[in-house]
Amino acid sequence: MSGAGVISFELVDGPIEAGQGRVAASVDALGEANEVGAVLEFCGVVRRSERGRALVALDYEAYPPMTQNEGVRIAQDILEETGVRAIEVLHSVGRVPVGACSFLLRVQSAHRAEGLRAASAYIERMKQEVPLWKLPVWAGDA
Amino acid sequence: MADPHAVMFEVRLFGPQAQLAGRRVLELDGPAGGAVTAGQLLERIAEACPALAASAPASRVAVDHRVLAPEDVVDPAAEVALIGLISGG
Repeated sequence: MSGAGVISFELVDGPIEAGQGRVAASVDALGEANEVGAVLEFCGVVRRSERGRALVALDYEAYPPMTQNEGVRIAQDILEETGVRAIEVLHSVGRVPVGACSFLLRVQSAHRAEGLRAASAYIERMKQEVPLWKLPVWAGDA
Repeated sequence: MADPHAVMFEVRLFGPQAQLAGRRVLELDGPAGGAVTAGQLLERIAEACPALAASAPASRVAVDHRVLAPEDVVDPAAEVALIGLISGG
């Protein structure tokens, strides 16, 4: 929980399953400040190929606790900039096969416009600032 | 022959940079008794490990899990990490 909003950033071993996360808990945590009218979810999925070469999976690596610290710091910035009510992030570490979810971002806001803006801003900054790495597992090498 | 007074830096590597370097930790000699900034350490990494020469200039140095500015001095006794080629999501 941060100020007037809710922030969480968790690392998950392997793929992120449907329904994983804490939407209900975070809405409850907002208490009387809960004026959420939009819940946006973005799920990053491992593509079948990279640069034209077939993939089997991606191996993700993090650097705890710096990964979580940076992920929360960015969320705090964006929460203040946009006024959204909650930013929750799950990111995989370890092997995630093609077609599975490796990154789940959930933003809750009063209205859709600031929620969409916050989601886009978070993803852009995460890809620049949060220590997370992926290594391809190529078809034929697995 | 190695300078017995030289400071040794151990730099942790991750992801593609660890793969390129073929190791998880890079050991580097610093100047004897002299301070090394984060920017200078990136230059030393590129010199000492040619496999990282292309990516080191665009990387950052973290000490005890905090990113340093290029002019900040690196404490060799702290946990030093190379943060580069980030690719989450």
